[in-house]
Amino acid sequence: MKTEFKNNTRRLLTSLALVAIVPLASAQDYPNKPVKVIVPFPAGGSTDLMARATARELAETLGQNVVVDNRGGGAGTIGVAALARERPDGYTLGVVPAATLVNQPHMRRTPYDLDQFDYICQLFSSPMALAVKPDSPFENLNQLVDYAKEHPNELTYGTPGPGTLMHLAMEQFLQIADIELEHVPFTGDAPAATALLGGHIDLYMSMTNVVNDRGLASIGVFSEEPAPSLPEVETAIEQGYDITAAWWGGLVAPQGLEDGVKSRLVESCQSVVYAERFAQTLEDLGADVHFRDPDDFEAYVRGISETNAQLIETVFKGE
Amino acid sequence: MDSILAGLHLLLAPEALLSLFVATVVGIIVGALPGLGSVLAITMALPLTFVLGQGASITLLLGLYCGSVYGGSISAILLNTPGTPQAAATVLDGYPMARSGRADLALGWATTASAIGGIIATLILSIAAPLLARVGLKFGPIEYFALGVFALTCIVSVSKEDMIKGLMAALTGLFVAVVGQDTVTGALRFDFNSFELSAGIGLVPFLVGLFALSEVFWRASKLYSVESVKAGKSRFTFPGFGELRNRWSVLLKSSLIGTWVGCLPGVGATSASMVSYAEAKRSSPRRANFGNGEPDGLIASEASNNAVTAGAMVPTLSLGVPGDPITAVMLGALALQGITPGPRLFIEQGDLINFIFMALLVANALLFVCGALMTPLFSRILKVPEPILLCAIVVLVAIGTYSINASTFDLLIMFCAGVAGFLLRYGGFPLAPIVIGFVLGPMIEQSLRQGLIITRGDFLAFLHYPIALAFFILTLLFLLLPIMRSWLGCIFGQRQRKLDKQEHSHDL
Repeated sequence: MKTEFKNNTRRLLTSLALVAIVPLASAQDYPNKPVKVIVPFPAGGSTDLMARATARELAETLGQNVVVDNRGGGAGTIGVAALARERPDGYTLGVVPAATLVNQPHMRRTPYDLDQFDYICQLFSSPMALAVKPDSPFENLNQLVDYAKEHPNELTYGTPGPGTLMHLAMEQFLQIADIELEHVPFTGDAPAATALLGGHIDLYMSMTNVVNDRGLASIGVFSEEPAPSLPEVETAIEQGYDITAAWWGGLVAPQGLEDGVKSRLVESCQSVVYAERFAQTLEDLGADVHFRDPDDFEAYVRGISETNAQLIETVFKGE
Repeated sequence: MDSILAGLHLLLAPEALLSLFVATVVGIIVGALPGLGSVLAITMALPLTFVLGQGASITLLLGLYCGSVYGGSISAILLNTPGTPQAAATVLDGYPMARSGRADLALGWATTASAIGGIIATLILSIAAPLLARVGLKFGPIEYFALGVFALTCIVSVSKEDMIKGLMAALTGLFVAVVGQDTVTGALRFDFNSFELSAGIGLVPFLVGLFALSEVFWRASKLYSVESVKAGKSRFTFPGFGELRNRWSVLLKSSLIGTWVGCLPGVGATSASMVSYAEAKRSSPRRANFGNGEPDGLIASEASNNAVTAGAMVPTLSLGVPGDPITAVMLGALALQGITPGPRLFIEQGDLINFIFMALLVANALLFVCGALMTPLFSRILKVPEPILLCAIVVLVAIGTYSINASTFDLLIMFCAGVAGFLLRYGGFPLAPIVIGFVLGPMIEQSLRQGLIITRGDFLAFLHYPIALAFFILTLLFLLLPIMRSWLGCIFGQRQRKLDKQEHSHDL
C-alpha cells in the first residue's frame, strides 16, 4: 500500500513537473521497464505458445523485455482474475483466449467482468471443424443430421470440457440443425481426441489443426471460407447451416490505460500481426492471424458474450 | 538401418550430448528438491529451446524429464518427502531403509532400478511403439474406469497397520479431489463461495504440504524428546550382483507395468508406481517386509516411474496425445521445433524417432553415472543439523509451490495440508492412501460418468467391454486373495508358517 502511495505520489509529481514542457510524457517514454504478459494457462499449451510468440514480437517493437507469466487454473479464470487486479499502467498485459471472457463469467462466479478490461486487439482465430471417428459412415453434415433425426440421442460427441467454446459451438449447431446428440465432456483437447481416435465417441468438435495433425477426417468446417489446412472439407455454410465457430483471443489489459499507452500498444499490435515469424508460429499451431482494432474487438467480445450467455442458460440451467 | 545411423549422427553432435548431460544433472537436482518437479524443470527450459537447435532442444527436454523423475527418489529416501509426485510410493520403503542406516544402499537401489526401468522401457518402445499406440487407443472411458478401480486396490497394500484408517484416509483423498468445477456439468462443488477454491485444489501444494510440511512438523515435535536421526553412511552403494539377480523379476515386472501405464494417455507415473508397488507387494516372496525398508518396494516404485518416462513418449509421439502434464509441455516444445507429432511422424521422420529413443537410452544410462556422483552429496543432507535442515525444507517447498502459479492461495493450501498431515500422522493414519485417492479420484469419477453417458446409464453394460471386464476380475482377485490366503492359512497353518520361515531365512 505504502509503495503504491509512494509510486503514485512520485508519478503525480513527475507528471506535474513535465506537464508544462512535454504533454503526455509518461505515455511517451512508455515502456521504460520490462512488460509482463499474463497467460491464464500452463506453459506448453496452445495459448502459451501463442503468447510467447506474441511476447517475442512485442519485445521487438516496444524495445523492452516482455516476460511471459503463466497463471493456470480454473479454466483460465484464475489468470484473468489476476490480470483484472493489476495496475493499468501498460506494464501488465494478458494474452487471453476468448472463453475466459465470453463463457466462464456465465458459468461460475468470476471476480471480474467485461468492464474491467481495456481491449487492445484481437490477434488470432482458429476455425473449428467437426471430426468423425475412424470408419465413420458420415461424409458430410447432412448425412449426420439425417441419421441423428431418425436416431435421437444415439450418437455421442466429445468436447474439451463443459462450457468451452467447442461445447457451445456444438450446442449451437445442434439447435440450428434441430437434432439431439449425447455430450461427453473430457478435460482438454488431448484426451477427447484420443477417445475419438479409439472410436469411443462418434464426433469431436475441435480446432482444425487438432483434427488434421492426428489424421482424423472431418465433415464440416465452421468458418466463412474453407480452411487452408482442410481444403477438401466443405464449410457448414456451404452445407446449408448458417453457423461459424472459432477459437480466438487477443491482447487485453486492466481497464484504465492512459490514451498514449493504449495507442502505443495498438500500434505494436499491428506490427505483431504483420511479422512473418508470428504468422509462421500461428500457422504451425493451426491458427490464423486475425486482427481486430480495440473497438471492433471489444464489440465482438461483448456480442459473443451475450449469445453465449443465452446458450449457457439453455444448455446448463434449462435441463 | 540408415535411419538408425542418422539418429546416432544427430545424437553424437557435441551440443546434443552436452545438453543431455547438463539437463540430466539439473533434472536430478530439481527433482530432488521437494515441490520443484518435472513440469517446472521443463517449463524453465522452454525459452532455451528457442535458441538451441532441434537436436539439442530434444535432448535437453528428455534429460530433464528422466533426471527429474529419478531425482524425486532422493528426497523420498533421505527426507521422507517425495521430491516429485511420481516418487510418492518410493517413500514407503525408501525412507525406512534410510532410517535404519541403509541410506547408501537405498540410493543405490533407486538408481539401479530407475536406470534399468528406463532402459527396458525404451528398448521395448523402440520396437513396439506404433503397435502399443494402437492398443492404447482401445482404452476408452469405460476401460479407464476399470483401470482406475483396479489401481485403487493398492490402498489395501499401503494401509498395512490399520485397514479402517487406511480406507478413511483414501476416502479423504477422494473427497478433497472433488473440490472445484464438476468436469461433466461445469457446476461448482464445495467452493464455499471462494473463487480460488472453484479452481480446485492443486496436486503439488496438497502433496507437498501433506508429506513435506507434516514431516517437518512431526520431526520438530520430536526434536527434543527423541534421539536424533541416526545418520546413514554418506556413501553410495550399488547393490551386489547376487542381490540384483534375486530381485530381477520385481524389476522386470515393474518396468513392464510402467511402460504399459505410460502408454495410456493421462494416467501418469504417480499411478504407475502405485500399481506396481501393489503388484510387488502381492507377489514378492519378501512381501511381509514391505513398509519396513524392503528394497523390493523401492525397486517397484522407481523402476516403474522411470519406465513411464519412455512409455509416455509413445502416445505423445505417435498420436500427438500427451500422457501427462510433462509430455504436454514437451509436445508444445516439439511444435515450436517444427515437429508435428502424430501417426505420420513415425513414417515421415524415422531418423528423429530413432534419435529420441537413443537419447532416452543415453539419458537413463547417465542416471547411473550422475546418481553415483551426486547422491553422496545429497546424503550429506542427513548430516546437516536437524533444525537447520527443517527450516531449509520449509523455505524450499514454499518457493517450489509458489513458483508454479505464483499463487499465495497455493501456499495456504500447502500449509493447511501440512497441518492436516501432521494431525493424521499423530492419529496413526497412513498418508499414502490420501494421495492415491486424490490422484485417482478425478480420473475414476470422470471416466465413470463418461462411460455412463456412453452406455445410456447402464452400469452392467460395462461388463460387455472385455478389457474392462478383465480389470474388474483382477480387482476382485486382488481383494479376495489376502482373505483366501488367510483362510488357507488356517487350514494349512502349520505348513504355511514353515514356508514363511524358509522364505525369510532365504531373504536374509
